[in-house]
Amino acid sequence: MNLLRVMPAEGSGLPGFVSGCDEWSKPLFRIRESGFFCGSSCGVMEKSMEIEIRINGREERRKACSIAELVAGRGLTAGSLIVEHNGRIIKQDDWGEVMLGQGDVLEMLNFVGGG
Amino acid sequence: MDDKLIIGGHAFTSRLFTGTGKFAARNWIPKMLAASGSEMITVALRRIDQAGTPENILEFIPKDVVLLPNTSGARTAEEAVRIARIAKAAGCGRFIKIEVITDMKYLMPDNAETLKATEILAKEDFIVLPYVLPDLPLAKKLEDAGAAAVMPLGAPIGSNRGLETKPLIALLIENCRVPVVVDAGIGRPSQAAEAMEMGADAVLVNTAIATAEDPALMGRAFALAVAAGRLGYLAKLAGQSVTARASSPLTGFLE
Repeated sequence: MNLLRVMPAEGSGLPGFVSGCDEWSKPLFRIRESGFFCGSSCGVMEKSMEIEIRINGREERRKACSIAELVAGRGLTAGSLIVEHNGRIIKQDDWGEVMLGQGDVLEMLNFVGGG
Repeated sequence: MDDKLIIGGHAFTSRLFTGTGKFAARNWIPKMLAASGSEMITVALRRIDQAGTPENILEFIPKDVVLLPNTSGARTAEEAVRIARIAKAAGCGRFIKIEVITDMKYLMPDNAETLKATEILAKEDFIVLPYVLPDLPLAKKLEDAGAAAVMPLGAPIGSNRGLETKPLIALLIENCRVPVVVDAGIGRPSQAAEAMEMGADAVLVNTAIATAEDPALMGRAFALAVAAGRLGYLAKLAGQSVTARASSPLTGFLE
């Protein structure tokens, strides 16, 4: 089983475990793959977990994964791809760190010819 | 002669702005840029086609050419603002062409929404170039809102009909503090020259160049026309009259 450790939001000063018990799926938390248990009572998230997300306006059910995995899984090259996750642009360097959660909204964009 | 066009602190030698839409092959774009000397070019932002590899239009634009992302696809000020922010976050620089369109038949810009978007984005350190119908009171409001230029249309996008709005554009040229860039509808080099002769600060041409049989040659033709029109304006056009005014002396004829 591939376990995940839940990291608190940046700046919360609580590395490695979650003090409160917010719903794990909310984008408040960054979730990193690490093989550790979540240090709180909010449970363990399994990577095989199914989530519903909206990608470019289309609802999809898929296994939880990072943005990098999603991009690679679709055979897309990073190139000039722009990813907006819940209204925020995620830099390509951070794609591996940002896990997709239940109800997330993703826009995958690029620049095209236009006048 | 030092005749630079300054927009948002950038100095442009070429007063021909171009677009990346509608080229039959994208490798015409760098050829067209080299031939025309255009220093600013528009790009658009779209959802990727999930079937294929994403197109990267930026690969075809040399680094010294300023990118002017547009907000095409936006139907409201809010959508335009969102697209602008994404373009900037994606590293496209500070320039933004605001284009808000709900009318899909004539592609007329929505001036009210465009003003709203300008008000928001000018406060966010964007260099805002709104694409509008030539409306003088609106242009003054855009200036007050912090627009870096105003871009009135000559005719509907892609129509190649030229300066159908000429008298209204003339009012903008006469009364605006910010540069006036004639955008859309210019179909021929002579029409670009006409816009520059009347005092436009620049023109933005996409369709007429991109859909020419030889876009690079047409880019060069437009560049020459824009330069000629500009010189004609700077030289101050001679007056017109209904009757003839002889250019040779009317005295001293041979008997």
